[in-house]
Amino acid sequence: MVKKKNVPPPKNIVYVDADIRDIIPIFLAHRSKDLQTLREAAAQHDFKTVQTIGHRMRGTGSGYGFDGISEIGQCLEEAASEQNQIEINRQIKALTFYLDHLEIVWQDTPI
Amino acid sequence: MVVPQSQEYLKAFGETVLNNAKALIIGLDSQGKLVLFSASCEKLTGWTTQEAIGQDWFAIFVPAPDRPPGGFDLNELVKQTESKIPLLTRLGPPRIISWHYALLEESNLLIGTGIDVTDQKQVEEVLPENKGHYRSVITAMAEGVPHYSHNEPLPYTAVASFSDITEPKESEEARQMLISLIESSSDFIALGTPDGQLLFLNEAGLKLTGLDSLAQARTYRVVDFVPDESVDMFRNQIFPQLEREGHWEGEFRLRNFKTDAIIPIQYSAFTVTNRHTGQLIAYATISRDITERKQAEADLQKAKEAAEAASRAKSEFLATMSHEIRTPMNAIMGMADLLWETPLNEHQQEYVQVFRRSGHVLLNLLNDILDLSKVEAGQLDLEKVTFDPNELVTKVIENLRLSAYEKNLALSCQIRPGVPTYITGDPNRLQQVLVNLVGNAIKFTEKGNIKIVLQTDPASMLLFSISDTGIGIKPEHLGLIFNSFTQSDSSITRRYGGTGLGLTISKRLVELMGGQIWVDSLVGQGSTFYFSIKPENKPSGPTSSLQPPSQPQENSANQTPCYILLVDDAEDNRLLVRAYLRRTHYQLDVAENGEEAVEKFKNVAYDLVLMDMQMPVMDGYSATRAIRQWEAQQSLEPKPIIALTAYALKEDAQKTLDAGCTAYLTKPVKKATLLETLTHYTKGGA
Repeated sequence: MVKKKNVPPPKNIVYVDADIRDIIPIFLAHRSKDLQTLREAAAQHDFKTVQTIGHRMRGTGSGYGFDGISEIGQCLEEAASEQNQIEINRQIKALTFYLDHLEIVWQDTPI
Repeated sequence: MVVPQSQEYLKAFGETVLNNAKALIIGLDSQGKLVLFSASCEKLTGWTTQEAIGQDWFAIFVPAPDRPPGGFDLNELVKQTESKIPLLTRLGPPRIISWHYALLEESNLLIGTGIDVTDQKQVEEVLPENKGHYRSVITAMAEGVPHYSHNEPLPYTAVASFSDITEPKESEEARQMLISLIESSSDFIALGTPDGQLLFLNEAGLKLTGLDSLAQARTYRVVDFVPDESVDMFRNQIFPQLEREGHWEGEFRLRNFKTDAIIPIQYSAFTVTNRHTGQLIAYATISRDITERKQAEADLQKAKEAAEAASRAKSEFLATMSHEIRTPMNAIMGMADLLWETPLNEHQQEYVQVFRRSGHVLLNLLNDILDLSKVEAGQLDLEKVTFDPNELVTKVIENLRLSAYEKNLALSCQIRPGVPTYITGDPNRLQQVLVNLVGNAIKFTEKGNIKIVLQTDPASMLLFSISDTGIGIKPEHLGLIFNSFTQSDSSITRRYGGTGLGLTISKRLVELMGGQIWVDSLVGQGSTFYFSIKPENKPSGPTSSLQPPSQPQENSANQTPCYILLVDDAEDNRLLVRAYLRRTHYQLDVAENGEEAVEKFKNVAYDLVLMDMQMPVMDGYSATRAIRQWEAQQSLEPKPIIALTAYALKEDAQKTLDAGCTAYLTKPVKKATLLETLTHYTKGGA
């Protein structure tokens, strides 16, 4: 019998500009709120709301350095436009995992 | 003179006299019985002639104590020139009659003629011993007609002169009132003769000067009442003016003969003259003891000095304490800033922000108290350096423009011709006043504009005015707002915050700079604060001996603020762009939808607009079209509008350009891309 190793879950390492460190908590708080709204909207098949949130995530995530959020946002926007409930649920799980396993590295990026 | 007449004539004459004379007429036989009783006697006594004839005159009509002591004797009575005795009547109390007697020797009859002097007698009884002097006073005060000379004895019947007047009773009542007035007055009332002898002094005067009686007072001359040290003033100032102008009024002093104390008085002296001839009759005074008032004034002065000393001590204490508190506060604030730079979770960040904000409020308050205390303790010294007031005003506006934009307020400045290029003064303190007044204007204005005007007035003073379209100040508060810890009302403090010290400090600073500060205001329409300062010198421009404080920098174009309007409904994007533009010369204003953006654009001269295209209410395409249309109507040069779009497709980009955008950026926008675009499309890149 092979004993399973206790492997730590993978981390989503994100490099963020140290100049915007003070607004990152606000940004992440908004995403947690988005997650809750997405779950409610998905349960009610409210594709319009899912599309709007996805669009907003796509437009903002990379700006802050969270490319993963932009990618998930784009997937959500497309899935909503296709009314693909399964894909929407999958992306919601992906967003949940992403946010739970974030590790931010602050970078002093010269302009 | 006797004219012989017939018997009938004499009888008729006698009857007429008996029936019509106002004087009382009686005839007594050798036994003292009545044989004649005039109609005036009937009227006064209530007896008829028929009843009276044959009655013993003295037994019936005269009270026992006043009857002739040795019994009735015609020859004794006739010797009396005048006899004032009471007359008993049936109609009321006895009357006082002044009798003159004459003897008809042929018929051995005593004829008595009498005048009712009851009222006169009562007046005499009221008067004290020096009745003549009252007459003097009364005459002098009420009529101004002299009846006496100080060199001649006064006539005994002072009151008798009143009986000559048509209505003696009324006249005497008036005089009695005046007498009461003089005697009951708490003021010092005195008369002096033209040669300086005291003539009259009322009760209050006697008491004040420590004299026992008028007789004693009359032994002094007027100047004796003046303390030695004031005699010169009396002789050289008061007396000459009295002679020249007829009156003198002011504070003076009297001596008290008993205690030798000096009594301060409010002295009012005047002359009494004959109203017909203008001749001086007397010097008069009505004066008042002001000992208590003088004492109160002295006490007040002492209290004022004590209060001022206490206030200075308080200011010094506050200045010291504020300084002592500020030193550790700076350390605390520095540590809070460092803490903010370390990794913090959301809650910790919130706590540290509260910490920093409150710290700043406290530090500002301490600085205000320190400034005010320094001014009040006379410890604030102004600097004397040469600076450009135009540059200073521009700097203040640049610093506050963002606050104005955040409230959508237009902030403008006008520097009128004639304002000197360089002046000598304290630029930091002038800036402090300007920042305070412009800051207040922004704070208390919700809509409209704020305008600063700098000009010179005819007296070469620099005159600043700061006008707003804010809430205004109630008229009853206008006089209070420059007082310490006073805002227009307490609800203002609750709503707008602030220490209430700003205007007080500004007022003190302006006064230190040789100027004044004042305000015009209408509730609901706005306020205009004015202040002037007196520059120490006013050179027309920099000379070799004057070193301008700052020369234009080569890269000043890069330092000029550039105003950007970001239109985006997503808070995350607004936060991000604001964070990107920190520590740059770009100053950001935001709108959450197209409609808001168009309104803001019409009111504020932005250098560039960043326009998100997909927004609620009005999208970026419509907003851009509306802005371009408005610019064309106003004949304005089109400002760069950079579209922010999440779509990277070429047709989407073309759509933004078709709507009127200058260029487009695809979201998410990276910091470097944003800054490059801004540099390119604003004057920074020109």
